[in-house]
Amino acid sequence: MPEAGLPTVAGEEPAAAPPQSAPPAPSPGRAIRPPRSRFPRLESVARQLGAALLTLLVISLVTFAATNIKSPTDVARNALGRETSESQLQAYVKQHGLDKPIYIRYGNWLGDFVAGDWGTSAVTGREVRADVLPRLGKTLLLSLVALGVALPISILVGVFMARRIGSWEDLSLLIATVVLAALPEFVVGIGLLMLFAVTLHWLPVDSTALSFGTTVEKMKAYVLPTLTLVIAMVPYIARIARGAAQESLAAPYTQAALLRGLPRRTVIWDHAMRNAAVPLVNAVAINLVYLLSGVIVVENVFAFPGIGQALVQAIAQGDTLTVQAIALVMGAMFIAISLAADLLVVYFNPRLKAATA
Amino acid sequence: MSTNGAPAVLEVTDLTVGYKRGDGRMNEVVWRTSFTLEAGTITGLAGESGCGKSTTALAAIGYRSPGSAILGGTSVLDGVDLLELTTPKLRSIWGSRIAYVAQSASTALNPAITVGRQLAQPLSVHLGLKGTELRARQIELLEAMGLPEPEAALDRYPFQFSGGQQQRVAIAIALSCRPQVLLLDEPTTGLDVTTQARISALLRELVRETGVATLYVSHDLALLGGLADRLAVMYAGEIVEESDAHAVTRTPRHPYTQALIAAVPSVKKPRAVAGIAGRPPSHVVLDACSFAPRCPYVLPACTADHVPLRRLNGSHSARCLRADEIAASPKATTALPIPPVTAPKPLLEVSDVWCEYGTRRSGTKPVVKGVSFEIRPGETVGIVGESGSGKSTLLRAIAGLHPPVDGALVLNGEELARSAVKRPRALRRELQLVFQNPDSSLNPRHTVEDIVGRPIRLFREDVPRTKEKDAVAELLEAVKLPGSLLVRYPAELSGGQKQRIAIARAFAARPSLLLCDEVTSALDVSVQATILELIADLAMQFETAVVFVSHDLAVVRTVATRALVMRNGEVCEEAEIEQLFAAPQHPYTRELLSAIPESIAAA
Amino acid sequence: MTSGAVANADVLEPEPLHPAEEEEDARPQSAWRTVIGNVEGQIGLVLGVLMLGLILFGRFFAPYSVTELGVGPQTAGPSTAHLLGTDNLGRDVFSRFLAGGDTILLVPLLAVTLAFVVGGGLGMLGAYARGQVDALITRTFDLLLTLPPLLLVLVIIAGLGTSKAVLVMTVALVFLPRVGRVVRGATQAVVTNDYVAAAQARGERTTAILGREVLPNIAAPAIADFALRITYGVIFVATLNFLGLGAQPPAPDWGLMVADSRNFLSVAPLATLAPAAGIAALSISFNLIADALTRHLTRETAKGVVPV
Repeated sequence: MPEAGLPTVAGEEPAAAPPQSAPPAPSPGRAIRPPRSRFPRLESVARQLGAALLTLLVISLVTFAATNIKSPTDVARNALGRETSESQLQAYVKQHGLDKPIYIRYGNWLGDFVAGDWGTSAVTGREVRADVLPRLGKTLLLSLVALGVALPISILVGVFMARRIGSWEDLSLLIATVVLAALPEFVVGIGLLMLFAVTLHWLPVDSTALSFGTTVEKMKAYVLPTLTLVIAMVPYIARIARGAAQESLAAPYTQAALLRGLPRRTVIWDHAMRNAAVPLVNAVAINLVYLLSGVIVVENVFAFPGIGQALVQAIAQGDTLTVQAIALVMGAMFIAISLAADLLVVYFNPRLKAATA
Repeated sequence: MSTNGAPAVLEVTDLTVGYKRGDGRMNEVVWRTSFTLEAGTITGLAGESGCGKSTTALAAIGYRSPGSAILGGTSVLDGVDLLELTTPKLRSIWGSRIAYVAQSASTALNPAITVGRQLAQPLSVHLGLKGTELRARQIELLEAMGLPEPEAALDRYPFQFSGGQQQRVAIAIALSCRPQVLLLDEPTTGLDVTTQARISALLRELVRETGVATLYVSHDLALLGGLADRLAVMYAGEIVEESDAHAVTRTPRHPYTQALIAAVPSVKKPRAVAGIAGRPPSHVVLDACSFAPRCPYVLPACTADHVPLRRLNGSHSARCLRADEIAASPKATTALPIPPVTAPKPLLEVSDVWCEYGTRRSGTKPVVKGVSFEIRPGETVGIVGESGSGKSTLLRAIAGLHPPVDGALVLNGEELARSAVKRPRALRRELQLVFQNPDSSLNPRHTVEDIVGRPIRLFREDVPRTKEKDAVAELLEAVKLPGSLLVRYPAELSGGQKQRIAIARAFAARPSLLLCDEVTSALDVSVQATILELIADLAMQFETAVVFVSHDLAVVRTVATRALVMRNGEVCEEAEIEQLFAAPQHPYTRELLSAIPESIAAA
Repeated sequence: MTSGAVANADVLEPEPLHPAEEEEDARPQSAWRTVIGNVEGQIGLVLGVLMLGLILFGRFFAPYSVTELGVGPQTAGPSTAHLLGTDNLGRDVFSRFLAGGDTILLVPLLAVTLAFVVGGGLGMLGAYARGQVDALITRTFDLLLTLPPLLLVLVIIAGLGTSKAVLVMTVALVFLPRVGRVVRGATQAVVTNDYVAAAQARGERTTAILGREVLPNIAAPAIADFALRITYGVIFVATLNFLGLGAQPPAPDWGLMVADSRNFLSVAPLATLAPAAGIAALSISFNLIADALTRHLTRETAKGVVPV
């Protein structure tokens, strides 16, 4: 209850105070029309999941279309060799159902895939799923460890730079990010190889130890690929963090927080960086897709037995089923990360959080 | 400064502050400024943009804005010089013994943290409050500020409150630890005039009750005249006059204060306003009187040497060599020219116009609801309303930028198409628009010649290509700007100059109707007055009718002969200006009039 | 007839007391001057020009044939006959280095230009037109953006082969939505300004408004993004070549050279390091230029950071 004598705030409510004179009756069709939905949170989750599934579908479509663009006889010839006769080729085509129209083949493949049957590779003769799944685990581990190392380093570096904007520390780190960000992952990888494996002999020259080595050797085999990915990601993310941190550290609410006498850590992280989180997560999510495709390259440089290496091999060998499977799996991986980022954005953005309450 | 007997809490002596320029040099923006804050009193610090008042206030509590440095002086609180302290020590004083309320609560309150938590932080950091005790104090504070449903408010975010409520929250946070010193930096700027009045009243009560020594920084001299106990006026980084608030506003002794008062549009006296030509220096002037180039009383002695701040009598000081001679009352001003309204037939007829915002999917909201009015050729009509009244939308609808969903617009008997691009060139020429913000209404990549020349190229058939540049130069002269500005870019001009260019651009087409959308709201009072004079002059010269939209009743009174008052998309009242001010019919109009701070008595 | 009986009423604008100190250069700068005007941009330009010269004209100075095998001993170190040594097939590394950069430069250039024309045009249109048109364009961009780039390109190459045309088209497709978003964002910032509304109120046509009012104000961020995309493009194409999915042997491409000699790092490092350095130098130069542009573009909005 406001104390007597103090002005009340009834007139300041977001809803307008009742007008002194009755407003004229609105003509039909002029009434305020509220937005349509009635279950905002459910709708937003459903929408995001729907978008994710749609993207997966598109990836599967594009992949299938691209890899199956070759004529059925070419595929057969690829699998059986150049010298096979016409009748053998036709038999192969019939046997693998390659003479059916493409959309039926797509439907069949997609249906099988979702049910768990990823087919048998025409090139290796083995079941695709058995080959791909264990590799998936190793790639996931590599990606997540690299992300787990790169993200905190980048954010700390970014905040460090933002707080000292314009100083020589900031400028020299900026130049460092410009130079490092310009290097392709394989150049970084080769450079690290040259230094740590060839010259210093501290680490193995490739990651074949993962398939048959001791635990220590396995761990050592992870180091260079992870380090390469981290060095590839940090310059990008640190720059983004620097920009977002600078914006929020220069904002009026940060000044206000400082002038409330709050401790430094609270002002930087609770007040400033909380607001920086939204543009940061958004920008990082967009770039992540770009950066994690570096996994494919890194696996190649180090002969790391993950799905990236398998993908490149499969493309080179014309192993369409494997290509399709890996493309979908990788796509799902990236989409999961984007979804996580979207959820984080809602968590950090009070307007969205309140709107979905 | 003299005292009312109240104890001095914060004593600032010879404060000097500088900013580092782009080329590395130090630019002094505040020079040897001194003042004292006393318990339970409000000391006003008045001045226009760039005079250094905000910088002074922040520096006085030890805060160094990015790029600034405190070059000298002391600021003593309880025997301790704040300017000598390091940030960690200052952290224990800020928020607990010294409080700061920033200009715009919507940006000073952290948008991502709930109101409750922002309120709790200083309480737990400085006073160590926890648990139920903390919560009780939070609710007590919000109630004291007059916020409804305090418990629920604690869990809400700032964006869920109105502007006035947000500022109340900010004040609550500031006063939460019972500070000795309160710094208010334009706390009501940007709020509606009725909200302003309420917040001002709240502040006055709080200061009396808590006895906090308050410094109130504002550009609004009239507001400070009514609210503050002591008042100091700043110009070019120095205090040029200080005294009791009444004395400064009723009997100003410095030419700048006088000119500033004369520039404030008055609600009491009809149509009297006088601008100050030129612009203030961008840094302190130490070898002459800083106001000399613009001063009507200037003598050679004024430019010879720095002028000290002299005590004139008991509590009144002024930084002027001729302070004793200057008439103690503000100089008389003549009225702005009244355009004669001769033609009986209306120029523009607005009939039952409805405008909406939004799309069919996200929901539409009516913003202008059935507005009708007329304008005669050469007439100036004002449209007054607070934010959300629909006045700007109505203007844009007339201009063809926001197609109305219903109603008709008729110019010179011809119906106007809803969208500007569909109107014939002759009609487009007749209607020209001047926008509020000069920074965004001029293309930064075009020179002044490009900007003013474009409508000439498009609409003036009487000007051949070869004579275009001359026509532009003529217009520049009409808006009192030197021809050397032809090749400049907007970034090189001041706010007042840019707005003149915008006006020149509008008159370049020789329109019969000029639409002005809050054209002076973004400008300092002295600049505003020159712009108002200019528009009145040119409208008379070119026989142009003017629709003048503003939230400021006093400004509208200065330029218009008739006015409409709008609220929530509807016209509450329409009357001749004198009628409106002398005998307002609608309760809302009365509310608006009573909310205007009126402390500057006209001669 | 103006009001105010002041002596200076006739003076247009009183001269300030110290006019020389009031002047600060606030004129808008062209992109070129921005790059030239600071050290980062200068280094980037010099390096870029050097690399361009090397790539375009280096091949005319090659002492040996780029494809002939066995012109020298296998995997030999540098000598007077072979400045950078030889690779595992006895080819002269120096000659191959001089000739090896063209795919890595030209494909990105073409692809980025294509992406700007199509993607940038759509982005600008969407931001200006708003409403349904914008929603459609944004939705298309968003869809394209969710597809992982390298994955997409690999898959398309798997199907359509490794010709230069395919490379250009797929890289352009990857960049199109990103460029579109940047241009759309820049246009949005411009379009909300009143000078655009002023042009609309004058009844100017859309093409005139986009060309006269919008374009000059988005030129700087667009050029900065262009340089940045070239950097990404160089990285991308070099990576594809490294994986064997772009240029094909026996072409003397830098990416291929790195892949070929990778296994002989301990014996003949220069065969790998020289082309790697070439790729690095090219992309670093463009990145320096892009960075010089972006950082100095935002100087007006670079407010000071609160001294926490």
